[in-house]
Parts: sequence; structure tokens; C-alpha cells
Amino acid sequence: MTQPGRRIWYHGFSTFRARVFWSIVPIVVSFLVFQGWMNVREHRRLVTGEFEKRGRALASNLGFASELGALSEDTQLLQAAMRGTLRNPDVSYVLIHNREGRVLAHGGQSEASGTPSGDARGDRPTARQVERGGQRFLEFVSPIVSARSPTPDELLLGEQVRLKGEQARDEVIGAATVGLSLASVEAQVRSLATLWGGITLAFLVVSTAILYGFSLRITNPIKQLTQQAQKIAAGQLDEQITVRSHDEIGSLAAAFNHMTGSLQVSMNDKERALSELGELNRTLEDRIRQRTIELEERRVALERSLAELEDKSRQLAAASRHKSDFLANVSHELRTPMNAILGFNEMILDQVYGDISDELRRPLTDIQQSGQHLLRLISDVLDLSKIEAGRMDLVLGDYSVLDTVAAVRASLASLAAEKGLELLISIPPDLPLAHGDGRRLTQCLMNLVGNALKFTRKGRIEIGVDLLDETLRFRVSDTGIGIAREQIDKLFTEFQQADATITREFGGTGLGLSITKKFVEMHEGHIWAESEIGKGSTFFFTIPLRVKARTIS
Amino acid sequence: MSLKTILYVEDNELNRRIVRDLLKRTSYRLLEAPDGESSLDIARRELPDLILMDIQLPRVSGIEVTRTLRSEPSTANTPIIAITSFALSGDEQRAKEAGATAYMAKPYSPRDLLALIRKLLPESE
Repeated sequence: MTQPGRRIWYHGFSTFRARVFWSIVPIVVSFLVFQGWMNVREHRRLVTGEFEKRGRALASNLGFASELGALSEDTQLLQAAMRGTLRNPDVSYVLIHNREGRVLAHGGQSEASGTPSGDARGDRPTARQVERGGQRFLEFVSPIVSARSPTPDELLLGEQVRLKGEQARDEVIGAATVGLSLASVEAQVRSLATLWGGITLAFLVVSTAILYGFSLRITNPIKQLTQQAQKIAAGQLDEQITVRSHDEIGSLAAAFNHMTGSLQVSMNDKERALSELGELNRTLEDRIRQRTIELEERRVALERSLAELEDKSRQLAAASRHKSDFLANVSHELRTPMNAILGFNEMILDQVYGDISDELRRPLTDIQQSGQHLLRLISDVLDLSKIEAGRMDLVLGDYSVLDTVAAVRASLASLAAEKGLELLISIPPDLPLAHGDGRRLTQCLMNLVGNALKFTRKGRIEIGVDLLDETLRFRVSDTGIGIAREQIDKLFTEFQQADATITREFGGTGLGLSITKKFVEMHEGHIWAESEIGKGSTFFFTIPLRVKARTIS
Repeated sequence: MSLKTILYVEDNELNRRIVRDLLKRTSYRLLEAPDGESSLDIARRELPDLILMDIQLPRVSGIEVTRTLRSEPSTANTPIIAITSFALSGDEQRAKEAGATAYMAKPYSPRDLLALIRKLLPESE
């Protein structure tokens, strides 16, 4: 028990095992020591008692045996009496004194000769310890009594007779001393003590060993439990407590295993959850990365689309420009031959090249009118195209409303006269100078009055102008065929005339009203019509007296 | 007595023939130029009494020629009738700004053109 013992010592009372050990060992040891001491003491008492009894008996016997020798003071006799006593191994020395204390005989160890060390009076031998020559002895002194010969009476009557009054007849004639060496007794006691000491030691060793084993049996599972619990605490959840005992520790181990199992299950759950979370995280990152890539791709695609759109827009703008340029070119290219046709025809009619017959004048006039009509058609189509391409700009300037209306009347008066229609004008005399695109307004009025002339067979046409605040209101009314209510709304749409048959009867491009509407709207104005079938129509449009440049789109 | 001289600047032969035919029976002397560059040379050399200027000319436009003529002292006051290609195109505005005296939209009536010429430059007796 060296190693564990040191460990016990080292740990002091800090470990459970040491506490068990140190609480039991002193009790056992003290019990053994106490028991040994009591045992030895009792044994010594018993041995000493026995020794004394023997010593007394020896002394007593020697006293009796020495009666004759003492009486006669015969050394030979006394020597013989002593010989038997001396044969006893415990007897160290024997002395016989006479009444006066003179040594009559001695035997054994010579140093013991001398005066009797004690009183030799009385019947019984006395015992006392003496030291002679450095040795301890137990000395017994027995008186030597000379008894008178019993009388025949005494012999007959026995003891009673003697007891009655014959006591004084016994006479002490000496003392027999027997010295017993205490060495043997002490040796016996010593050997007994040694034996007890051995037994105690053996007991101590055995009990310590047993205790140690016992404590091991208790503490080892605890230690194992502790170590394994520490491992579990360190995270080794698959570690199982291997302690198998059917006591509280076993229950503790089982509880521990159960707990570990539960922990492991929950740890497994946790780890699974964690790994799932990690997986989720990874996939999330992947998805985010994927999404980012997709977004980037979309962004790039968008940018490309945008660039394409811008390109298309540029192309469109260029195309629009090309279209306008083309229209301008077409306009010019159409006008040049038309100019030639109409110019030459007019000069023929004006007889620049000589007189013409009346038969020729008629078809030449038709050519002139058809040419004018064709020219107007071309102009209308080109105007509309330009307006829709957003390339039509107003040419702003001051103009006189009266002059405008007069010009219209001047242009169309001959036509009205031809049809036998009255052409009336109603204008306030004090109109201020207006600001706007006078030429286009003239065109608008020409369109409206031209239409009125076209659709009126008899009656009159009136051009009226009113100034309401800062707004000019133009009015062109006729006594013509009128327009059905449901067809009025369609009037201002391209190529719409109230009735397709009307186009055949009265001619016209169907573009005049929509161009007029657009011009009016470019002036921030409004146009509308009121009509009744068979009673005639009235067209109105309003424009600001002074058109502001910034309002022109 | 000197005849009144009219310079007609026009690239189209047919149109030139119209004016040529138109003025045949008048006392005006007609000079013709098919493009802007030659018209400037003729105007500087001949110093016409009136110029008919077509606006749409190849290379140098009638607007530019008008502006140049107006900047030169010898032609600064010569009446110029701008012949615009299209009444609504804004050409007449630009022609006015360049210094044209009057304008006539194409297609024009020869009758009206002659009336305008006579108004600006009366025929000599």
C-alpha cells in the first residue's frame, strides 16, 4: 500500500477514500492497542498470581521439610530438604535461618545468602520483591515450626482437644526463604506482549488492506464516474459510464448514461439542425449567388435592350427626319411638274400663245380645276403627314383678322357667285391686331368656307368673328344639307365625311376638317360643329387673340 | 431707252420656259441662271432691275444668294421676288429675313406673277 498510501497522505482529507480511511484506521488501531494492553495486563496478573501461589507452596513445603534439620541444626538434613525445592527451575535460591537469623543452610545462587529479608512470623509465608545483585526476585519466607508430639489423648480426641488449649505448644524455630527469579515471569509477559503486538500489527495490516480494498470498491466507481463524466463534459458524448454496481453509484451511473443518451440525442438533433442550417446557409448563398448572377444577366440584358432601344430611337428619329426630308422632297418634286402643268395651261387660257377657240377653253378650264384639286390633295396629304410627324411648326406673327377674312372671301367670292350663293361677313370694326400663324388660320377658314360652299346648293354662307375676352371665335354657317347628329363627332377624323356618297357628289379629300382641327389645336383652340339635317350647319373654332410662343408644341 | 432687265434664277428648265414664255410679249429683258453661283456672277455683271429667285436651288440655296446680294452695295436695293416651293413651309419667312422684297408660292399662277412683277417694276413705255 505504498503508492495508494502516499496518495492518501498527499490528498489528506480531500478525497472521499482518504476520509473513509482515516476515519476507520485510528479506531481499529486504538481498539487493538487497548485490547492488547488489557490482555497483557490481565495475563501478567494471572501469571504473577500463579507464581506467588507456587512460591508460597514451595516455601511452605520447605518449612515443613526443614523442621528436623532446623531443630538439630543439621546442615546435612537441611541440604537434603532443600534439594527437592532447588530442583524447581523457577527457584533461584533457598535460605534457611534459625531462630536467631543465622543461616543454617543455603542453596542456589550464592549471592542470596544473608539475613532473611522479611519477617517469618505467622503461619503463612510472606511474599515480597527484592533485588539482589541487580536481579529482581520474588522472595517467599515461611516460618519453620516445631510441633510437639501429640499426646495419645490428643490423638484420640483429635483436633478438638488440641484446639481447646494446646496451641502454644507450636514453636517457631527458624525461617525458610525461597527466592523465585522474576525473569521467567517477565519473559512470559514479554513474549505475550510481543505476540499481541504482532497480532495487532497483523490486524492493522489486514484491516488496512481490507479497508483500502473496500474504499477502492467505493471510490473506484466514483473515480471512474468522475473521469467519464469529465470526458462527457469535454464533449465525448458517445462515452458510456461502464460502472456496473447494484448500489447508489450504479443508479447514478445509469442515470448518467440516461442523461448522456438524452444529451447525445439532443446533441445529435442540434448537430443535425446545425448541419441542416449550414446546408441551408450554403444553398442560400448559392441561391443568392445564382440570383445575383441572374440579376446581373438581366441587368446586362436590360442595358443591352436599353442600348438597342436608344439605337432604335435614334434610328426612328433619323427615319422620321428622313421621312420629313423625303416629304419635303416629294413636295418639291410634285410641285415642280404641277407648276409647269398649271402654269402652261393658264398661259394657254390667258392666250399667251395666241387665241383659243371656245371649244378648247372648256377642257382647258377642266384641266386647270382638276390640277388645282390635285394640288390641294397633295398639299393636304403632305400637311397631315408633317403634322403627325411633329414637324409642323407654327410661323407666328401679327396679322389682321379682317384682312384674313377678306382674303378668304376674295378667293372664294367667284366660286360663291358661280353657285348663286350669298357670301356674308360679320366682323366687329375695332378688332385689334392678332398674333398667331395667319397663313394657317387663313387655310382653316378656307377649308370651312370651301366645305360650306360645297355642301350648299342655295341660300347663303356667313363668316362671323367675335372677340370674347382674349379669345377669337370664328363662325362659318351655311344653309346646306346639314349633318346628322351622330355623324358630327366623326367629322374631324381623317378621311371621314358624313356620307360616302357625299364624297362622290361633292368631291373633297376628307382631310380638310382634320387638318383644320389640328391647326386650331396647335393654336391651343377648340373646334366644334352644330347642325340640323336640311337646315344647314355652323362650324365654330376659337383661338387666343395672341398666341404665346411657349404654348406651341 | 433701255429695257428693264429681269434675272430669273431657277434650276428647272420647264419653269424657266414658263417665265420665258410669259415675258415674251412684254418689254422686259430676261436673263436666266440655272444655279446660285452663276446667278451671283450675272447679277454683279448685269446689275438687273429685278430678280426672281427660286429658293430651292442645288448646292447654294436661293436664301444664301439673296443674303449675299443684299450685302453687296450694287445689288442691295434690287427688288427680289422669292419663289418659295410651298406656301406653308416657312420658306417665305426665311426669304423675307434674308432680304426678299416679295414672295410667290409655287405652284404660282403666271398671271399673278406677272401682276407682281409689274407692280414692283413697271414696264417702260
